[in-house]
Amino acid sequence: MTNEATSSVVAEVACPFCGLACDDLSVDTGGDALAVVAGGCPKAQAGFARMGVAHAGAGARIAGKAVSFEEAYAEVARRVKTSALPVFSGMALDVNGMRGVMDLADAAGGVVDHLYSEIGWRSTRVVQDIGYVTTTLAEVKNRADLIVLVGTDVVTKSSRFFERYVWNDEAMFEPAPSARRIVYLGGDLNTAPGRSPDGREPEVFDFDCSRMPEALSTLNALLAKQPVRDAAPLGIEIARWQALADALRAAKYSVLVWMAGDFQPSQVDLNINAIMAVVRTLNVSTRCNGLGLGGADGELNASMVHAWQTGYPMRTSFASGIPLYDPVHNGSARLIAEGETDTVVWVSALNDTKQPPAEACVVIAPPTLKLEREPEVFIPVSTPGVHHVGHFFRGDKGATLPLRALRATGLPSAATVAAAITAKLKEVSA
Amino acid sequence: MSVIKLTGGRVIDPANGVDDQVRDIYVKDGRIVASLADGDKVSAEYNVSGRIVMSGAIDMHTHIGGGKVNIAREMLPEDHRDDPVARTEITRSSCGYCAPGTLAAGYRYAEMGYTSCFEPAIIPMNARQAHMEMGDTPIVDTGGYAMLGSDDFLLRMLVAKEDQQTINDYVAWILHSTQTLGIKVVNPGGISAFKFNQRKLDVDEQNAYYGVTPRQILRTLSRAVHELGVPHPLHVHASNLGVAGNVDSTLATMDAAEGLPIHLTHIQFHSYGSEGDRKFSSGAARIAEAINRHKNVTADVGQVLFGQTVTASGDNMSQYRNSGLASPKKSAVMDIEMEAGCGVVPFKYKDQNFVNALQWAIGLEIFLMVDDPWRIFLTTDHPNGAPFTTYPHLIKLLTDRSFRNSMLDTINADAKAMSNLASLEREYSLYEIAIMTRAAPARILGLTDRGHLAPGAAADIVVYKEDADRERMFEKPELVFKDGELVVRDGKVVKVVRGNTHVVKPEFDRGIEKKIEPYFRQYHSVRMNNFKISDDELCECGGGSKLIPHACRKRS
Amino acid sequence: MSALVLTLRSAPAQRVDAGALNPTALAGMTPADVAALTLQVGKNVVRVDALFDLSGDDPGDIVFRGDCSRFERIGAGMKSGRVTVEGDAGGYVAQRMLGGEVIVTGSTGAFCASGMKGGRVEVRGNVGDYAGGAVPGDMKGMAGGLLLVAGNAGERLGDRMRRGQILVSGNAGDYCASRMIAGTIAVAGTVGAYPGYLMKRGTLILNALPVQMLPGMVDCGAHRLGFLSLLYASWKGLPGAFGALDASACTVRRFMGDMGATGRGEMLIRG
Repeated sequence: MTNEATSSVVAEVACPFCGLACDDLSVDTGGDALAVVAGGCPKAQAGFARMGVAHAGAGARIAGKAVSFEEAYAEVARRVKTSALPVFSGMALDVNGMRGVMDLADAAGGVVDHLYSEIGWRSTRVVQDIGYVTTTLAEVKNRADLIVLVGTDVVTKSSRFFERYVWNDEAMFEPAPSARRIVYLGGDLNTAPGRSPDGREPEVFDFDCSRMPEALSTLNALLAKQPVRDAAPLGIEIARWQALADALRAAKYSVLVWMAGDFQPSQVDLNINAIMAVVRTLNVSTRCNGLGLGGADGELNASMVHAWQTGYPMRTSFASGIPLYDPVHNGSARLIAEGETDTVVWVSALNDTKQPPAEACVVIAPPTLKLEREPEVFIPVSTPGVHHVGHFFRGDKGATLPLRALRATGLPSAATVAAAITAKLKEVSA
Repeated sequence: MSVIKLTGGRVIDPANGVDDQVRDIYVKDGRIVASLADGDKVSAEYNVSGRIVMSGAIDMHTHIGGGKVNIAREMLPEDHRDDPVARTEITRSSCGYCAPGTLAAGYRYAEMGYTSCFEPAIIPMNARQAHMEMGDTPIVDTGGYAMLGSDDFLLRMLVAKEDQQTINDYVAWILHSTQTLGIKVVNPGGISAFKFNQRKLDVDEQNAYYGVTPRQILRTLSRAVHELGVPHPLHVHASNLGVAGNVDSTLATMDAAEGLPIHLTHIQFHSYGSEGDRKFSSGAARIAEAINRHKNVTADVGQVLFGQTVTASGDNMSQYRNSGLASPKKSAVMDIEMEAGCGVVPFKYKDQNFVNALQWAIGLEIFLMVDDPWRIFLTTDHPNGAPFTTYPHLIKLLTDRSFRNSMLDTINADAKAMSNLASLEREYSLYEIAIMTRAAPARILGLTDRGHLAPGAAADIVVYKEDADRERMFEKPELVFKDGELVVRDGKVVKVVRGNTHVVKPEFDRGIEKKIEPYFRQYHSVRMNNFKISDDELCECGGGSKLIPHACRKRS
Repeated sequence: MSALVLTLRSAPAQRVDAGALNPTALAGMTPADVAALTLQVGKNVVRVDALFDLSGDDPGDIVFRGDCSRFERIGAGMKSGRVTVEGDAGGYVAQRMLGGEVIVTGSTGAFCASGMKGGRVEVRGNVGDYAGGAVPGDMKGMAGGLLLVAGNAGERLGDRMRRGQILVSGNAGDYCASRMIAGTIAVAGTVGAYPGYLMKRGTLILNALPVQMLPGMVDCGAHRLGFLSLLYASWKGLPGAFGALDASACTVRRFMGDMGATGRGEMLIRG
């Protein structure tokens, strides 16, 4: 293990490779690739190793042929300018990258769509429909006495959840972290991290997660002191459901955790609605909060910037010159499938594994992205938190982390690229 | 070098005692100068004879950025549909009425002659987001107040009976780390109490876990802010927001400062009696009398104006309590990061609703019964009482008694009967409006180069065509200059500039970090060093805003 | 006067908001006025007569011909008159409609009759997801009037529906009557998973037990409900499966739910 005192190791690095944005990483910058030497997880290690290189020799291409960045910017500007409806998708970006794309998309009259927006809009719909009562990770760390994981194990997507926020040495308030009660609603989950440090097993309600509406319907009925039709909903005897309802009532600060991306897409907003019904019922007499996690690939960077600048969440069309929000119809996959867009621009600086859609004629991504097909324009970009500073919203919306520059590269950031294209676009206009 | 001359305007500049005097104003490189030097060539002259000239207006309490505001935006697509801002050659598209996008907010503020806006409720952990949003609010200068008082670090210090000096160091450290201009306390200790399932907390009631009272918190924080020499007094959102009868706790809150400077914000929402058949009455007379008597107290009103809006507050205890009143029926309440919380509740103030109508009257009563315009500020607590775009209407209510009385005649009759508004004859003069929207907020925030038009001041200048209809006059200035650049002409943005960020940097003992660092490591979700926002980073998240630090003169 | 017929020249590549082309908005206009109106197609603003050939002159009786599946909000907000789509229509047909009649001979996109307050919509093909449902930002879905669907409905039929009636002769998708607040939905065919999820009040009438039901839908046994005979009588003569019900056959198996969401919704299974 590298000694932290070694000058090439940078401590307290925030990680942009999942929604937890852990900021206790030590990263050795001495080698050809960045190496996480403390505080990481496999995803962090892989991300920093893969993208944490200098990208020597990478350059822009048009139709597979090397061109200058200026030529590439001009070509993208020309394409979005002449497009009837350009779509900017991917959006795995830091805050400034998203700001840059927003400027461009507005000028180009397009639509901006994150790679998780199909789940994201349904999740956002909950605040538009009923609102929520939620908490954030530091509160969970210090207060939670009963944590119910609803259809998610969290750790598959964000592996250090229990390590960092549940099984701590010490919490500020009672109970001691090791006494926390963990309940999983749903089967086929990795429940091992839910075992307490002293070996107490979590409680698991084992059922097919696609049947989550049945579980939430049962729980809400019992909390409302109403009957349910089945003697054993989801094959689990009613007494266990009743015991869970009673435990929630008795808890001082229970937390219901979900990850929208782990629900069936068509159930996302309804399931969160149902979770919120549980939370609101309980808050009449005690404290109970929801905790929606997510935020990988800069999902919240994109959604937050979009909302604060324009007022609307993503999937808003700027084509007419005023923002028009229609999350059902402005999804990039749908616009592509229906032939509504003729120009798909894929922008992704944080993710170099997700393939752009086949229709993407412009790809703006790290050169480590192994493209299955050559786009008409490729512009390589550096990665926030690796090559340049930036900002990253954590998945609970509780914090925004500063990202660091750990590795030099000659490549521009996505923000720089977007600004350059916007400038060219305005030249074309003028 | 650019040199601008505004010729022949009727200047109203209360900070310098200038009341409607015809003067020429010279601007050189973004600053007002007394006269031109030899060789200075006027690059642009504006004949503003007959026009009213004031400095740019300052909104000292407006929720324009940060987590809760963005929740409100996401929550309310129905708010945005009918209020689009169309893209132009120079401006971007945006939208929203009571929860506008930052772009819409910046353009609209500038178009109304506002050149500085301050976000009053920045949760320290959320300071980055607040600065990012303010950085994306074009044209206007911004700044914010960091929320303390329900943060566990402070409450633990109070329990541990740490000395005032140590607390001062922590408060100063927060100001530095969050790059803010002042300290706000919201429902002192109450946000923490709500996390322990307390549903109300009076000024002398103990937090169930810590045993600390709001009075202790107010006393400690007002002293800290004062001793650090932060120009802006402790900015207080008092206990019992919106509760009938809360006038008593508001008066107790004033007392808790023990004579030190204290600013009570959106005091209208804290000026309710519990008399009458409906156990809801105006406490405005008692509050105004107390403000008049306590020279250490300032207040902004938080005027209610009728229509749809959304309430967004750090006071999650109160907002949870109010969520049943939501219209439309949705609300978001959050506990946040062992520091604070927030609550977003859409609300429609109806002129035929007794309570809403009386709230409207109470706000106006306070405006008219507080004698000193230097100590009462024009706000709607945007968007809580109404969106900021209603300010011109509010100015008309204050300056035009017959208009005010004609409006009073249209509200709920029982509310009208409960109010003494009809008997209040006062009409604010333009000079007084300039005090409460320019000179006084600049003074109370310590913005020495804003809010006035003397040489050396930043050239944030507004030119109005005088109109007996003050609403029409103030909603559409003829010219607005920001740091010497013409940004608005005839009420429309003609140039987009980037505003500055105002901060204070009081002196303190950095040794406090020895206490803070392990606390973060043990209990927080981020490391201390990732919590702090450096000057460079601020400019980065502000998208390149210039940082303007204001002087603090230590008083301990 | 004869119906104002808008015959599509060729389908645009992007969705087009055609909400302005309704009898209320066009009242008093000549065909030339209508021809000169503009619509937004992607980034371009296009005259109506660049998209459609116009014939006839009665703006109170409008006919769309051709594949109008990219035209949204047809009949939106209209107060009276008639709009006929001879073919498919896009999303938001009759959104916030107040009165009059919309007939679609083909199928519609999503959110058909969303926020509709009055009048009648007849769809001879299928309706997409969220028919009679609330759009994001609306607190309620359909709030009055009648939606008749000869074919099938997609997911979330009547989501947050507040008032009015939806009669589907074919099948309905998953989460039918989700979060329903009031009103009546009847489905002659099958319904998908979890009808009545978070349903508060209102009535869902089915011909058969759903395959996947929520535990919070509680069986209250067989009942003879007098109001059904009045309801069936009011539907007499309507096209589709509900126009010829035996008004005396009003014994149903009654489920109440979703019990955790006030539980006053009823799901009635016809015997």
